[in-house]
Amino acid sequence: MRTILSLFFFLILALPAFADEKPASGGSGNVEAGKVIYDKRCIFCHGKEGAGDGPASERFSPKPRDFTMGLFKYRTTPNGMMPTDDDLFKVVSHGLPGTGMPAWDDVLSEQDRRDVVAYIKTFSERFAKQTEPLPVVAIGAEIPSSPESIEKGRELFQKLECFKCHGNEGRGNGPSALTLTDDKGDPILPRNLTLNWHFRGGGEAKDIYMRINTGLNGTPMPSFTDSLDNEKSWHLANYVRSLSPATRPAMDVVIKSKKVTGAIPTDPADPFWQAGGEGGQDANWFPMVGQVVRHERHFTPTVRDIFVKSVFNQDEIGFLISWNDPSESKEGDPLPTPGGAVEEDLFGSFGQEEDSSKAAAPTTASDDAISVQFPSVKPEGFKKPFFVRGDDKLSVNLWNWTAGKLSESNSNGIDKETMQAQEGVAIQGAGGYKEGQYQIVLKRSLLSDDKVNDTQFEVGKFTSIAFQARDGHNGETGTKMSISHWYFVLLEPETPKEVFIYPPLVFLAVLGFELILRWRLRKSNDSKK
Amino acid sequence: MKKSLVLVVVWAIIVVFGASPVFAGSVSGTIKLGIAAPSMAPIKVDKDQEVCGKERVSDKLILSGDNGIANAMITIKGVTGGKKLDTAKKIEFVQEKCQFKPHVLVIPKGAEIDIVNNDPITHNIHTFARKNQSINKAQPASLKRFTSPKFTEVEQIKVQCDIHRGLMSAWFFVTDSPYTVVSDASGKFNITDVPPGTYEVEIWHEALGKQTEKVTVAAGDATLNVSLMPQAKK
Repeated sequence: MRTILSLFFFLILALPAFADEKPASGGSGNVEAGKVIYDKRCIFCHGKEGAGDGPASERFSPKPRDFTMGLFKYRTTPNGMMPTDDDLFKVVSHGLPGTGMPAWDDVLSEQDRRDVVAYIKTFSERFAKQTEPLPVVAIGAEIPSSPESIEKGRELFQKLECFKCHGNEGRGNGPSALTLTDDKGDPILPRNLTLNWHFRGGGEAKDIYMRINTGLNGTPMPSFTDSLDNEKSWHLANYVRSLSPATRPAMDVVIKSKKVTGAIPTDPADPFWQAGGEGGQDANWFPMVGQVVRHERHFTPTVRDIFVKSVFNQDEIGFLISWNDPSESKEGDPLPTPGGAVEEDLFGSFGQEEDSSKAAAPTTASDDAISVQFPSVKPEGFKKPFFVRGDDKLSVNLWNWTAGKLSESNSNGIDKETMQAQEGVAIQGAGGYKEGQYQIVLKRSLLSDDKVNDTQFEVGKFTSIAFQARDGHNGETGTKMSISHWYFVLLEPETPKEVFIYPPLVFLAVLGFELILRWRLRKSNDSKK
Repeated sequence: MKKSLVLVVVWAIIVVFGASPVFAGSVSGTIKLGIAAPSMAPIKVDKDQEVCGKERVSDKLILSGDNGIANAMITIKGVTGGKKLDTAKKIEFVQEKCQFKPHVLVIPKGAEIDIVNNDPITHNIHTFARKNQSINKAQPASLKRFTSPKFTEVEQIKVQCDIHRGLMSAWFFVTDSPYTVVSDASGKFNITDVPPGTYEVEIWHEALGKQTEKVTVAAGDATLNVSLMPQAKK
């Protein structure tokens, strides 16, 4: 009797949950209705025949999915298998953060999205051939993150050789990283595991658990499922999760430059900059985007995040700037060919005239670089120079670090940069590349003699600041770079001593006033009686 | 009595040879490169040198001393009757010293293969299948062997290890013909149990493309020696 009762209650409790879940098999979406939506919303990127070759496709890296291949990255099904309808529905609904794929859940109704999924499935015959129900990777009992679990995960990361692509510290800079391509032959980079807000399939441990077990079809990311059980999957997922901050950094538009008493060291490894040091405060985080404002545009930049902190003393202001780059590059470094050691065509010239009309792809890298941009002269009111390297009227002052070389320049537009004389360069700096990350310190005196070309820093005032970065392995020279918008740096005035005296005085005065008031009210009440 | 004995013998012959033609021959020969061997610079290995070595000969074109071509695939087309496809045969595909062995593997349609890692490092076996279920599995040293899914569609499939891109590549040929073989290190091949007839023979090589020849199998064995020429590009 008890079993029947509990079964009854279970059914009652479970029913609403079941009712919510749409069946994962086909039939819930209408192909014809889906085609109408697809032709209106999706065709521009994914193309008429679903081959990922719409007119906008060339601007994307990664490229829009080619549905005709029948290979899908973000699935809950085992390696090499087709996605479930719900897997596709999730991607359509929530989009893929960090790619051109937007979330459609606030544009299209649920039925519309199911219809689109049904239509997408007509592009590859693999779906039609999939007659058996798809197995789904089960996520077993969770092992919550803990130092022990993370340590076990770290050992697995080493043992399974995840670092070969993802790098020793997870920044996507492993020895095999730069030779990778996807199944269509387009270059693809291993995910930087320290910035989990860029993980397309979700950045939490349960998402990572799924990815390491399913792999990403159509990419070099394999499934590790034969080497992992439920426990190991959680340990490895917890470790990978631990490489990113606990919460996504919030964007604060003002960098609060902190007053310090001693000298500002130029070595980023100096204890000064570490937690507990005078300059050990949290860095500001800013998003970076490709320079697509001026010709020649760059849609596929490497650097998408920059971390900045600032300090000043009575003479100088300093910035510690860090960003991720999967490779260190200097002008002239040979570029790895996607395809690795050799992909030569042995008989390439047999019976064929040399085709000299083909533009040769660059075979060498350019310099990795960072620029910090300020208005040359503090503008009046709210008017600022154009955020991409200034404009005709208002110029910007740039502090440049270019593969170890320091320079200062002024710019009145993206192709109108004037270098300052090298002997007059006043910025100092140091730092470099380590395990997929650049850390550079740049500093200068607060004031300089050249009031026309050099930004002057005053305590208590806001100064506009912007950043530009270049990855020399990604063809980023000239107008091709990552850029940020304008933000502010504020040299925080020292807290005046009055701050510590006035509040208690005000408190006492208010208290005294209230006491008097209370006494008088009571007195007048008493007199009425 | 004598009559019934003859009948039994005839019946036995029909039973034993019924499925396969009584007079089957073999086709054998050598595949050679039709021009002088091209000069090939060795591949410089830039990772895992302790396992993969420092330099490697490309396995895109392996020639014997007398220009015999290894890893050419030879298939007799349009054979009716004859032997059956053996889908139960144990097939191993091995990763050793950062090389796939064999470089060209014939897989009967419906068969599965065992994938073996003899190296002390992780490889990933990645098949670029369009019709069959694609595979991309990490195979660390601790995972010595696993069995692939069944290959269910006729398809030519590129295989590579992404971790050792440029060093490790191979080809799978899923075939429904039991008359498909791969040439050995000296370019020799031998296809047995071919029913009499005149057939087209397709020869494929990774660097040389496809070439078609004709062969006639009569009562005895046939010989087919082929000179492969690189194809002029259009």
